[in-house]
Amino acid sequence: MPHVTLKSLPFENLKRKPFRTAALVIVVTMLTVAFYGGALLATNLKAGLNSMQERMGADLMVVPQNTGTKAEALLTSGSSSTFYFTNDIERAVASADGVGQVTAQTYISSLAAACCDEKVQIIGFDPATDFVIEPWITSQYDGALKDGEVVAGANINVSANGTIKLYNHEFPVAAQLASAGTSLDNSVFVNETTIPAVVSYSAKAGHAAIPAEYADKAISAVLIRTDGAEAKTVAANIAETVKADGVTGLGYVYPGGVTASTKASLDAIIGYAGLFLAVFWIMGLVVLLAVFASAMNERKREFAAYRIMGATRGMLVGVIVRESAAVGLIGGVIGIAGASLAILPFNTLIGQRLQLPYLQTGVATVLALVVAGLVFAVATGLAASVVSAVRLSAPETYLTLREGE
Amino acid sequence: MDAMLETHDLTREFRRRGKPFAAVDHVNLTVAPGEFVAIVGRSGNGKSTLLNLITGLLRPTGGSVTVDGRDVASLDDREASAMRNRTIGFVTQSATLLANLTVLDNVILPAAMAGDALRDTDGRPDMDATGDAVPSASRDDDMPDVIAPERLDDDDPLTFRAHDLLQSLQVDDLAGCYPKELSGGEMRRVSIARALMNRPKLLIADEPTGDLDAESTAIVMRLLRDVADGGTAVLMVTHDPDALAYVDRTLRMDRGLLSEA
Repeated sequence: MPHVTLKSLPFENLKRKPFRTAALVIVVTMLTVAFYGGALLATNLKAGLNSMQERMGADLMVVPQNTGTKAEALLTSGSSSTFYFTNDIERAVASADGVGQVTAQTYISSLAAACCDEKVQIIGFDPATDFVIEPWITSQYDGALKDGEVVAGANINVSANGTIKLYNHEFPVAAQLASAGTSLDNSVFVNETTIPAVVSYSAKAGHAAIPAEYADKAISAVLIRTDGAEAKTVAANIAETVKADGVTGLGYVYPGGVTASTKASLDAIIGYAGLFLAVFWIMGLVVLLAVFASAMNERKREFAAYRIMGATRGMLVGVIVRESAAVGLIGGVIGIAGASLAILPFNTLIGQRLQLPYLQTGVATVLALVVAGLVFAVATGLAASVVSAVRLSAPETYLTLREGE
Repeated sequence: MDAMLETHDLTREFRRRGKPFAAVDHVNLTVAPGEFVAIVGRSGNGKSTLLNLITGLLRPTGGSVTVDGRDVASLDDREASAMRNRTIGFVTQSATLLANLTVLDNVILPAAMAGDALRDTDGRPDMDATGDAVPSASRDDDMPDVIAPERLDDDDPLTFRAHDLLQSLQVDDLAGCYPKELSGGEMRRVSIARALMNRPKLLIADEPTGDLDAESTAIVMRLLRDVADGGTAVLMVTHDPDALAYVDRTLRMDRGLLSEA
């Protein structure tokens, strides 16, 4: 068996004090879980927000009266819903001043019932005019979406034979998209021309999504890209234009505003989490300092022995620092592993519970956070030993150490 | 012959209830290589403070300490520590064995701190308790007759030497034990082995027989005498009259003042 060395001494000390070591490791583990877990969640939320901003595309959405909240939920991470205009609004909107580009979408929510594999948001869009969904789909699926086919969002469970059952009809899934971190992950996308068929299937299933008389022309929202004018000005222009046709009381959703309010919510959450983390860290550090300082008092005789045997003050500080760094590293590894196991496999669930855009960040970022978490844990362990190290660095060490004799 | 240890007007003052008092008061002491000197005196008269001043663990208020020709006060921490590690062996009054290490590792640790400098360069060492390389046949016949245990780490000179020292003090069978498993006397003997590990030129022993019975006292004192005869200067504080039979010179310390006994 190899004999003791200065390098192995700190580990012998930790090994022979299992309860003290375990207590220190647990404190560091808790701090690391809070730091790394919090940072991972915040990063994923920011990634979700960025993804949502990229997916927005429109400056203004015109929706039926009193459906603005449902439309906003569609943009973020809310539940699916069905709403539609009962008149042909798209042409009137397109003719308003300030409107640059226009496209219509139809939103139908399937059911959580035997007729459907799951409750999903069905989004009908026009590939010829769409500037919101079509570019995204094209970036990941280079084929043309045929009538009767669907493109599935990332969280949709596609059956083994490549279909999804909605209203008792098996729709072939042409492609499945990467995660966007928003409610679009829980959606299926169809051509606008497929919508009447969907309505028909829903009627046959006994749950008509839209009355048959509107099936061919039902649209849920008109998405607008302005020609540079302010979205609110354009909304006022649209209101004036459709008023001439006898239409009043439209709903307006400003995706930029939705992003801003979501960002504000996110910033508030991250701010509170950061504050909580700082307080938690300080409390943990105080506990670690107390434990290290207490251990230092218990170990005065031990340190005196090192000095008697010829250890320099630097050697003593080195022993303390290596012990605390080892505690930090072990606690850090356990904390990061625990937090990763608690967060990484449950992205979908976390996103749903938070009701905020949530997108798992990439491997490189996760690895960077792991490294940062380990550095944080080791730094915390080292910070806790600072007091002990400073005391051991006193010029006349024996005056401190002899108290233990 | 140059003195191994020399103090000149060595003084250390402390304050008690706001008033200064000299725990060590203008002490002049000289110990030559191979000389075995004992200091006796009542508790609290400055003997341990004197020893700590000699080792550089305390700084004097006045006067000087010279060990092996070097002024201890002029040494920085690294140099003073190196001196404690390589020149001085210190057996403290209280048990200072490290609870987290086995007896064997406790004895080896000073050599581990010194690094490879203390390892023999000519292969496997064969050293007696004083650290001198001698043939086994020339061991002191007065030393206890013990059966050497099987050596599992013969390739490691430090382990070999540590076992040799422990064997000389009749505690080699405890090499794998932790200090909490030892009696006070056994711990004291292990401390002596540790102090001798780096073959010191000056051995300082603060009541080395304090916890020992008569037989163990004889073993330790014969060993210390043997160490001194090997050329090491030995300075011992003791309350044990039996121990004085082995020393060359006895001094008395009273209220910080040192005088011939």
